[in-house]
Amino acid sequence: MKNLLNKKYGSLFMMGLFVITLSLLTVSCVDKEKGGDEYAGGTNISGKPFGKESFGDVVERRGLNAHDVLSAAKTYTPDNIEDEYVAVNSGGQEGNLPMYTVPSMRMLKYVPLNTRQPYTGFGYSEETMDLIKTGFIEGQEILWADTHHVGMSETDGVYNGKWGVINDKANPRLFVFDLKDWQGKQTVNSPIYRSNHGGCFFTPDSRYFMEAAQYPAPLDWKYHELSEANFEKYWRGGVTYWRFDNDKGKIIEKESFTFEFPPYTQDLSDAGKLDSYGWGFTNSFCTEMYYGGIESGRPPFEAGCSSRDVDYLHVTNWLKAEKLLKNGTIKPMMVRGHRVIKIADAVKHDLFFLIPEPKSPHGVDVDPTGKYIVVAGKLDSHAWVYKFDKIMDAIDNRRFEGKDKFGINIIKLEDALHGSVEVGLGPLHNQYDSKEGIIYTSIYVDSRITKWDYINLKVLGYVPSHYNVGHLVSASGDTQKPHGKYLISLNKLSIDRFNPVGPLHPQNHQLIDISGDGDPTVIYDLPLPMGEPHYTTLVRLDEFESEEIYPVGTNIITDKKSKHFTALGAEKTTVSGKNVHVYGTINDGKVTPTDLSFKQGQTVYLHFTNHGQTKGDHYVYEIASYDKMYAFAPGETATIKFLAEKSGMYPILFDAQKTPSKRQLLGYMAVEFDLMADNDRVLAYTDRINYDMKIQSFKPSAIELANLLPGELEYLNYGCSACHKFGQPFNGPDLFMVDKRRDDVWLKEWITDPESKIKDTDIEAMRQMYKLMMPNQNVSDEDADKIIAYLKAKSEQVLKEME
Amino acid sequence: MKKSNWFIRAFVGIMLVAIGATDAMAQQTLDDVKEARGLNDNDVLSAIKTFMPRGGRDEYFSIVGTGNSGTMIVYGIPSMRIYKYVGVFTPEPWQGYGFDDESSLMLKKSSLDNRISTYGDMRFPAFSEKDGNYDGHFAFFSDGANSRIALMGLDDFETKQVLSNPLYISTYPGVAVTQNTEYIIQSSQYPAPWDNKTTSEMKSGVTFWKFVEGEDIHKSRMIKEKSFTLELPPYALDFFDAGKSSSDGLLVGLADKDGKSYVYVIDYNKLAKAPSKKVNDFNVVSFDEAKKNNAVGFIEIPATGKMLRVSPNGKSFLVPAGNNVIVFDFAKVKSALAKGDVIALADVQKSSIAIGKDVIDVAFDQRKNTAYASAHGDSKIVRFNYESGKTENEIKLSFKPSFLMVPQGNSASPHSNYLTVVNKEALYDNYPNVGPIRPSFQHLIDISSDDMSDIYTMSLPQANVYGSVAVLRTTIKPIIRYPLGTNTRTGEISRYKTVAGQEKIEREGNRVHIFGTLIRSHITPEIVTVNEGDVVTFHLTNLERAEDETHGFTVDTYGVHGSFEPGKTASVTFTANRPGVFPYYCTEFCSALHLEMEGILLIRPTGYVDIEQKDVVLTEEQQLEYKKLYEEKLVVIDETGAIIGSVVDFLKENNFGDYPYVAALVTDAFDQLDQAKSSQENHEKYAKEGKYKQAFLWAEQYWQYQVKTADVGLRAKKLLEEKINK
Repeated sequence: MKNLLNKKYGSLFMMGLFVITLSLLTVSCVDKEKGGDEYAGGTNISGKPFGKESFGDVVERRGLNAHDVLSAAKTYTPDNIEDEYVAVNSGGQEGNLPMYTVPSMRMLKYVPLNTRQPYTGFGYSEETMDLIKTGFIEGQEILWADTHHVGMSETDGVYNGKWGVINDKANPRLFVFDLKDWQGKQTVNSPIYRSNHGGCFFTPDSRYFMEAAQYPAPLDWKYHELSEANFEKYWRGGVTYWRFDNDKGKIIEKESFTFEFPPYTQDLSDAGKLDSYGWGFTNSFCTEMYYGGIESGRPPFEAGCSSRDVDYLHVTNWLKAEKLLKNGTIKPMMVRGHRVIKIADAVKHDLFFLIPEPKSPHGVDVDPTGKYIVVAGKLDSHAWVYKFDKIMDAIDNRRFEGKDKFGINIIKLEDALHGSVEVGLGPLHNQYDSKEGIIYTSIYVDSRITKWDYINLKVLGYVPSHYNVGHLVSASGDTQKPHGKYLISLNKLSIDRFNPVGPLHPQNHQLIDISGDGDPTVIYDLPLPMGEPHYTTLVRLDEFESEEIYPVGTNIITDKKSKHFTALGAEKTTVSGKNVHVYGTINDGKVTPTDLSFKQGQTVYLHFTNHGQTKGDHYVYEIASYDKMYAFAPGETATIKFLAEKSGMYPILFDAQKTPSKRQLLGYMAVEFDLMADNDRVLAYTDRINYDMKIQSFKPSAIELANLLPGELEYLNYGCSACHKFGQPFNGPDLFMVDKRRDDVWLKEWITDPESKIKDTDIEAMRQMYKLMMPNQNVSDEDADKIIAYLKAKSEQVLKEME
Repeated sequence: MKKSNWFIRAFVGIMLVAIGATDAMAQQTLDDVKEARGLNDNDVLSAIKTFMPRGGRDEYFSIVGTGNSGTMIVYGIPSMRIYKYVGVFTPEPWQGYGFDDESSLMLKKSSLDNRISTYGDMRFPAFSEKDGNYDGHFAFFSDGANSRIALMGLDDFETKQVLSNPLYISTYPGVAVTQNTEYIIQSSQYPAPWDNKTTSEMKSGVTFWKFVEGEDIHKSRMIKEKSFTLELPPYALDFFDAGKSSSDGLLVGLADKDGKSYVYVIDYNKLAKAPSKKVNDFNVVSFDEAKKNNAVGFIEIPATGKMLRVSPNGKSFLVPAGNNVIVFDFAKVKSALAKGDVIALADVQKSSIAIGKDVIDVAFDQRKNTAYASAHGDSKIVRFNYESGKTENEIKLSFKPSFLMVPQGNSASPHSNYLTVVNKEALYDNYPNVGPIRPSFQHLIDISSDDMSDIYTMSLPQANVYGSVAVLRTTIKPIIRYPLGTNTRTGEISRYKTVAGQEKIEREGNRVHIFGTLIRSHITPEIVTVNEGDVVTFHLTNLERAEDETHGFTVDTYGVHGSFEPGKTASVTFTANRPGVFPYYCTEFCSALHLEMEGILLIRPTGYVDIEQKDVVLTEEQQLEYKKLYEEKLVVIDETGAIIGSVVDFLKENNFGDYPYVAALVTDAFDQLDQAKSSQENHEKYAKEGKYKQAFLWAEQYWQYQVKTADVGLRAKKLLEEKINK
């Protein structure tokens, strides 16, 4: 076949014809997979050179079909051609914001928002660490997040390219980032939720964005015994309307408010637009108010939460609520300093209604016109289309089927429903096309995307996706003006798709071409290498403008000139008490000052200003073995703060990231030994060991255990190695041959109860020498015997080595 | 639409809609796309050389040193798609790395300070070797920031060991592996005292970490006690490489001191036998002792060496320095070393080949005596013969090239179709501008013929890219699940392994251990109550056997996270110091009901006495309603069972066992159905007792298992149909 192809269509200029021929030959190439290990994919075991290859040779060698060739051409993006979109993803439990380009599907960036990321230095400067710390909840250090749904700020119902917000399900927080530099700028903690999921959904003018609770809990964060009665009484959900300043890119906490919801386990939301402006829609999946308890014989959550045939769509009127709050008609209940509209008040003022929705829904999506709302319920094979004017009509005419347990009016399904369409098993999420009435719904169990018409209520086509498809995204698909063209299927499984990389698989994002009139087609499978995106937005490159260089002296979190800005020539060091401030500069790769000198125990602030103003002026400043570093962006001023806890000479390394030169040795940080500070260091180390003992002791692997002497494990676990060595004194006396100097009884007493010997003169002499007292580590009798055995064995071993 | 079985109606629906949809793309020609996107013929050729058809496998696995990111990247060649980031020196929450107890403990062991170092700087990784070839078992990294060394298992792509170098303050961020992985070699970079004093002598060194294979491969580790360091005068040390074949036993590397540049050579087998002393509890061989044993020598070279690479046959090594590549004769170096520690360049140099301005790196391929050199200043890569000293051809690039890599090029058997080139400057006009922080870039060069061509530009986010190594994909044999209850950091069965039905909560004072399990779609236990101030550990085992069925776990607002791949046992510990109600849940999208995979941790305030809670008593009417619901559910269960039966028949008739991926899905489907048995016992028992609410809920749970069975079964059916049709 190869020869034939070459003879007939060898010329590259015949490629178009060639492809047509191939597509005629190929019966169904939509989803012809080269799955499994049996496919060598052109893998050339010998590694010999392929030699010069024509187009036909490559097609033949790599087993490509017409669809593959077209897909390659639709996605391959050489350096002289621009990509069209950036996909901005939530990172899931990776915590941050993975981004890639479309259509070339190249990983572009991971924007850090809550996790320390040394590549950018996020969390290594005072400025960025302070931002992370604002996300600590009740003092709890939290260095990760489970980010779920990214929302892009809008003006007139379309992305304005200014801000993005993303929520954290694990620790209900919101992170605001600026598209100018793709940098996190603000972190706000939910004052009332213990869990969220449905966020962040902007209103068309970005006046508010919505964040709904997920797993209900008491809003005041108080403890209550769990019982069916208490669950109904104290557990609550809600939807928060966060007031957003679209010019400054800031959440205004004081002007935000929450609708109290029953504990129905709310899920995703969407804000109304155009006709439905002023309203918000939130769905729920456990209106049973069930909680599990499999360990005590109760059926699990998954059984009890899906036992009813319908759940409730929560419909809220934020526009009216804002007005009534402002004019004092509604007195909000203040919960942990936050305004909450009580269910009774919301009902009284017609701000809150329920409508039955398909069983265990996931996505609720308002269409580009704002007239229709589509809900997909994963345990119902239909997607349901609600019509906004029908909902309004029911409300205006007060046609309700009754009230729920909390007194909330329930609108009859028939009164609100435009219709439903059977889209497949396990429908989850919806995205809109640029063409009127066209919607795409991800179908979980069937592993496919259904293209259908939500106005005329009919299925138009399918595209098979890979397994566990979750969210979908189309270009600007959640705005008033979707672009069509591209659709991405976010598949959570990637079995059988990529080179295997162990039990933890990447996700699989499939780029789907929806530009034609026919069925959509998958044109690229992208492994998402870290994190588990739940939602993505596709922003076209001309919809935002970013800058690669900051004005000199910028604090990148506040975007203001840093008070630590240092002009060239104005470098200085100031000492006040235990604090040392170094004001330095980086200019065209030259750093001032180079050498640093401190006393052990001083708190050091290194304020550096990067005067570089080209996009290559990125510099990594590191202090070896001190775990201190920062990556300075062009124009940035940042502060590296640390306690000079260890004495010694520490090389300072400096790396111009954009040149291939090796890390230069900038100079040394000399930390002069200080006895008291060193004591503090040792005590801190002992504290750590004690904490580890409480939490989890040192547990070696089999191979490590095989190399440990009897009793060494206990010696390590009680932290003895923090102060003692064999053959030399350390923070405490040398233990070499200690068993010859003291008998076993004395050693045991000393190890188990050091206080008993505190008055002995020889002990006092040692305490004077080492400035430390042997701490009581609460060693058991049994462990003390083991440690003594180790002292002997180790001494013997050292002795042997000496000989 | 009430009360009908959505599942059955939809299933029939699927049967009616055949997959034979027309291909929209058939109507579109390649010429249309070329014109629309402005592609030329070369672009299309590059596109089809790199595009990976759905489900295709890349030819090579490549791992990258990510610089100060401290995280490993693994990607495929030629598609250049990144498959995974793996935490090595830097915590990474997706994998629970540094957020669960097992990995935190491993990192803790590498710290001699009162905290764990939070990042590393790793630039030049290496693979484990057997007879000079990559065996696909392990990869190694050196931490140039916090002086550590790490071992990565390639069966599961997890970090297995991190050790602290007890001597160095500044460490070179690269490693070398000897030809049978006897030693993993790490050197200092910039000199520093070894005793935390500002006044002591500056020292440098080269450390030979002894690698010991365990009785089972998962237990292989570097053993500190069997390792040693050669102490050197204060040289600034740079790249090094280990000899192979005839030069096995020698290490060569780059050193600078007092404005002069050297190549050092070390005979480490002699050092291993030489007397050593303990410094910081580590074996150290003194410089004098090494010289006495003719185990160390220095060759002064005319310009600073940028890189040093040993040829595949071990007979030569190449050092780019200035505008040339110096070729050394390894046999001559070896014999010179036997005579003394000062070696004249003229005695050991084979040739010095002029390449171009500022040569950064060299790489070897399979063609005889062929190497590639990057001339940074001339924006070109030169292919040359290092025996004849002749340059063969070159490719002009649109950027300044730096580090090079040919798959297997650092082993005894290099391949020869691809060359990757790092572009540090990254001055692309057309690449999306997303702010000051930009990715790193490297290009894929097609070297399969005489004409080399640049066929792909790859961006690598969160990576300061330097060196990389690549191996044929079939050499690495990753696993898809662990033996049940594995602590993946040690390779042993965890003492906290918990099997279904054995879940329990143990309390000892304020220490609470929860032994739990994870399976689609519930966490056992689901409700846990502890007291304020308790130190709480969840030890969880993922009972799944199915590929890619990972579960995650976190307790809201308590800062911990674990990733539990099939079979894995891991733990998270926190102090319950804030009373209240805290949901916990599975963080992975593991099934359609993943949101329902949740639980509640109740933390009782100090001094609080629980008020006894009574269950809500159902009215007669409610009881009857539940009875009706129960009976309806039984009908649905029967109907769903019939569907499962039909899928099973189809699978059996078509010999699903012949297709491993299909068979794995079928196994999983039956596993799900097995799970259902206890739910059936429960609903029948409660129905008999007249407790219809419980009966209904357990019937619902039975049905949930059926849905999972059907879910996986349908996937198996779909895949089987594809395989048959192929």
